[in-house]
Amino acid sequence: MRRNIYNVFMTILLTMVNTRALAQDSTSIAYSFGDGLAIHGGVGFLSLKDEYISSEVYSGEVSYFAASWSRQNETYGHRLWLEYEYTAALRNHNISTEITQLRLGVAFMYPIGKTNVLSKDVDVLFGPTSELFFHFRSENIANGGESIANAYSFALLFSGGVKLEALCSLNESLQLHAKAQTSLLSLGGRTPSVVAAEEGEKTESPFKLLTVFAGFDASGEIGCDYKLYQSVLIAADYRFELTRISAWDFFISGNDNFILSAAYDL
Amino acid sequence: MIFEEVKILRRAALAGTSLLIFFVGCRDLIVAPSDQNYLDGESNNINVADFEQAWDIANSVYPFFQFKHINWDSIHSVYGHLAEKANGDEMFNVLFKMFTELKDGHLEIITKGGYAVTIYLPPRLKRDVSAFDPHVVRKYFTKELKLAGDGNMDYEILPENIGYVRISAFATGDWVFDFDKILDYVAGAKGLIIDVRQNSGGHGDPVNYVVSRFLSASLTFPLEYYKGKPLPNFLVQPRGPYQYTKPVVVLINGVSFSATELFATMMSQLPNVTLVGDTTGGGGGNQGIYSLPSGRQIRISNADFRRYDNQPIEWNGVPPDIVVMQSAEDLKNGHDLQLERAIALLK
Repeated sequence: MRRNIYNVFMTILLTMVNTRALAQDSTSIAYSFGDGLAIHGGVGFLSLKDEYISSEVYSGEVSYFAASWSRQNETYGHRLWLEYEYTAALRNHNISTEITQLRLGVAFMYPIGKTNVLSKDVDVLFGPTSELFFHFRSENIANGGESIANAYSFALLFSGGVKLEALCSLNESLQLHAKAQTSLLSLGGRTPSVVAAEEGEKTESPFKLLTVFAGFDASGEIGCDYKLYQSVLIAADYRFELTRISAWDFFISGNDNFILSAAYDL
Repeated sequence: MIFEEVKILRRAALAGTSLLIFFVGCRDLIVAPSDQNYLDGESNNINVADFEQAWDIANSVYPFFQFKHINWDSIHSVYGHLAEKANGDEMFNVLFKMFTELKDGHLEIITKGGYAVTIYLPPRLKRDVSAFDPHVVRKYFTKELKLAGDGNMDYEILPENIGYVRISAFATGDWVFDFDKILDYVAGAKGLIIDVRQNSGGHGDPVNYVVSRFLSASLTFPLEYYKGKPLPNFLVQPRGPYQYTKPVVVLINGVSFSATELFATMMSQLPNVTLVGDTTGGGGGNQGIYSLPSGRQIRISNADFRRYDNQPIEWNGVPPDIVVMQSAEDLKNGHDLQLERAIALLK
């Protein structure tokens, strides 16, 4: 059964990236992997609905900072990243909330072939990934009262998944890239709800094992990078992130980020 | 060659822009606004429905309107307009402001998932939040305090041969059964200090369990008024293999609240007990939880507990027999004045 699912998945994937990929030499490296240490900064827009707090949508600007490490070996490349997003500007009408999000991830990218898009060769990389996502929300709903503490909630996903990258070198310096990542299985954590039980109230378990249907974390990224010098690369990206957790009170957040990066190959 | 790359870049930019518009649209589509903003029927605004329900609940169960001289009808006319104008979660603030008028430490607004936010801190509770430090208490002992009752109690015998037990909460559960073992441990000492400072309450059952070990005869549980009428008397009976009749000091302060105030007022009826410290916080209600149409909930007092002089515990609190004020500054200087007075009394 598991083998069948794997076969179907691979067939769909390879159809997506063009059947020509199978005939290509998968180890020829004509693209830039962006080796070295990179820092990233950007701004974005975040929309969030967390039914632990309420059914209302909060949205607003968010700041994005990240650091990453990439290295291409002979047969595969690996990426390690730490992202930090923060905003106190998320609003639902005249109520604000404060959000902090962290992502710590690692991916192992294997070249699986080449395809052709717009008459240009596109190198395709694919591999497993693991990411820890943490979201913390502090709700400013006590503006008019004399509350001891604001309401808060958190969401956590420790996921295993896959990542796909497409890299298209336009010339020796300029490269277009697109990346997509999705979780498949996660250990999820959430502010446990207080639910009605036979004997009064009980608190749900704060941790659960989640399939992709109950805990989903995905991101997509498109952009271009430019090699300024032999060991310095700059990049501009648009990145979309989506997190959905339905195993507890429903949680969904989506954000767009516009990111500038600089990488130095150590 | 260059022309071809420009062409590709242009196409990539076009594709990128399309994707970007798609994803930006996606974000608002995926993270969709609440479909709960409007209800079917006459009252079509969920916030107005929440307000009406909250106001009605308070109107029918809250016992202290008269005692606090609050005209609840006038509250409706003021906050009803605010509820009509409130969008989305702005309603949280309308509910907060409306219920703050009650100046009741038992009131809470609960989010859909169950996070309870306290609306109001009574003045004595607010003042004494930093007037107790368990680390300073430990300085009076030569041995480390023992933990019991799932961490709800710690106890030991002071060098002056005085027993000490701190009860940090009166939560429901089996934890309270450990009190009997503690009493056995301190039984040989000259007297006992029961420290319920910073105990913000819980339930009546564990209170009765502890009090019953000190009773030589049955004691009437503090009178409870429900919708203006007293409920039938309930007697707490002596319990256990022996009754503790040596001198007892109960330490109280402004954070001793709710069920802890029932404990203090019951213990104050016993001839061998002295209350030391400062007047308790003044939370004399019994909380009930009520749901609102949006999924929010409110927790509000629905009963009025009285002291033995028939005065409401609400706002009045339970006064000590010996007043000893204590501040964070005293603790910073390493002195727990209330504990020192208790030791002096029992020495």
